[in-house]
Amino acid sequence: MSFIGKGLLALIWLMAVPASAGALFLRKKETATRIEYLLTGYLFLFSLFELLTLPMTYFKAPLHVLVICFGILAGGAALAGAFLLIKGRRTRRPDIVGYLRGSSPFLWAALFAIAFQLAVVTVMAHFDADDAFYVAAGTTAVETDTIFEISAYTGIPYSVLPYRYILSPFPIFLAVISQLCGGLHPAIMAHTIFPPIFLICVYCGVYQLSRKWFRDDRNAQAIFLFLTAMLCWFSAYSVYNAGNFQMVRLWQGKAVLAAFLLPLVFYLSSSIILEEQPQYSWLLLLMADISCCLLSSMGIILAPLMTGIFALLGLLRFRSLKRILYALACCVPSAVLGVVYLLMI
Amino acid sequence: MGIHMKTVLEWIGLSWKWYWGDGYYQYLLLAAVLYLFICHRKEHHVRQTLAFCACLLLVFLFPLTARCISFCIGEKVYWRVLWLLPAIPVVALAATEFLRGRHSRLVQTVLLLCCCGVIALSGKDMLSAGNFTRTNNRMKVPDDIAHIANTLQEAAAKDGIQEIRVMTDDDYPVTYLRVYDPSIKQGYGRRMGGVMNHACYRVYRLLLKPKLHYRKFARLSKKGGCNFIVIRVPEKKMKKIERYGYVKIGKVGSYSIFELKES
Repeated sequence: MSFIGKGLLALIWLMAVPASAGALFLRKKETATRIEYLLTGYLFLFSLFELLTLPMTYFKAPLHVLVICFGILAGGAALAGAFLLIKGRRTRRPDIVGYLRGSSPFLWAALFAIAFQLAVVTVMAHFDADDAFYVAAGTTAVETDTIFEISAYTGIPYSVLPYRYILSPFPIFLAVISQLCGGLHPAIMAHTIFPPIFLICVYCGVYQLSRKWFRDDRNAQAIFLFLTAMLCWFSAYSVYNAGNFQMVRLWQGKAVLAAFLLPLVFYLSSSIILEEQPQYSWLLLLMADISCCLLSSMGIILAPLMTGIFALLGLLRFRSLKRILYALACCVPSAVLGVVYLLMI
Repeated sequence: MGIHMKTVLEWIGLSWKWYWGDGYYQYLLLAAVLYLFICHRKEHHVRQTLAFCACLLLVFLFPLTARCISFCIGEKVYWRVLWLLPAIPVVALAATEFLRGRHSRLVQTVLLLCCCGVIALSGKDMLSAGNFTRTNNRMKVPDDIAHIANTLQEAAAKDGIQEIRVMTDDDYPVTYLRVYDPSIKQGYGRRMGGVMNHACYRVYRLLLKPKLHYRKFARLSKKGGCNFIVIRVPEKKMKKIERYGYVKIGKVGSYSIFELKES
């Protein structure tokens, strides 16, 4: 298969599939936009992947089995979501085109800034020594058709399993997606395809936040988006901050966690826990928590910490025990994996 | 207990310092929080966001919670808790709230440009920080690594070698070789992330010494089953490597590539 063909497959698996699958979880939300479908779709794909990979790692299943299972389930969900979208097409409003038509000039400035960043992360390269594990684990999985059985560092079977990583198998997600895209080399997938795709997701999340904070003020939404893009671009003042991770290594799980998932958990938590009428289903917050576990072992701690703070604020505001119980239930996957991790080390 | 508390406070401070580096974003955040608190605190979303930031900072700075969290994630990466702080959204929120209060589009544009100037002065842009470069290979690994990997593969194909086992004298090649070509096996991984066998472990120990013993390096590499060596070696020391049956097959940058021709 040609390089362009594989690129098109990557667009299907990383844009069309999540955008369609997300529709399944927003059926009851009449005003849901395509951006919300995409973000929800990613929560679903990441959660599904985590739930499939953990038992398969335990039972030492070969990678191709995981590829087939994930492909069928994600593809099936996408088809079901697409069916729902087509069925309800007349009631959905054309959000993106409609939005652009009546847009503020600042929106074009924001889109230009984001397009520039997309071009940089796609065309240019950044060398990061952490790739020695995060990308090599993906290339190793593809080469040996195994899941965390062969050391990414040396290429020989593990004598001691990398406990910290097997609970957060994002490198295997890289391997599986590269296999689903016609066998595209995982390093190409990581360094050329993942960064622009996830950067789009990051700004979709920012856009959602702007819609929440500046409801009905498109001009303010555009200014917010533009300023966020500028602040991210000028985040090279340290190598530790989330903005830097977002711009230079958005193919590693911890960077996706810092730039995409944690802000999304912030948005979801404030929209669900701190709203009188939750704007989304609690299931989304649960999926966000599982997704954070997939991305990085940090996610196992940081996601429930954020949800916990929001739960506390929710308790203070609404004095509702039910609300805090739901929020805690959303942290159960993290708690379980955290205990498993502590037992393993 | 006093000393212990002091230590905890020290690495909380260090984590804070690492996170913000040499930029002024923390002052932008402070200004944004003050502005939002003074001028917009009655708005629901502002109250929520400020309350969240306050709680998070409390969790981050309070020694007991800091100790608990760092026990789970590790002290060295405690700064990652600050990923939860929505610094960029809060600064952007404050600036946007300020700008939306000006009704003239022209004034908004001028002030927005001023905001961009402040942001640029407070931080550092990605390109001038030297974060990005160009490569000639699609995998986007350093070109010299791609060249080394290709040389190894060509030599292996020519001599009918089924499995490439390579020993290197520093972390740079081992970091990227298997990203480019996972069929290559390595004597040891980055930062000793694994070793092939005990002899390879001894090679790694050798590399930690201030001066490399080339003969020992070659002998142990051979003992460890490595059929290739990638090493920065001066011309006059080549013989020490070749003594154990390794033959130089190429040079990429400062790295010489040797192949084991004798069994």
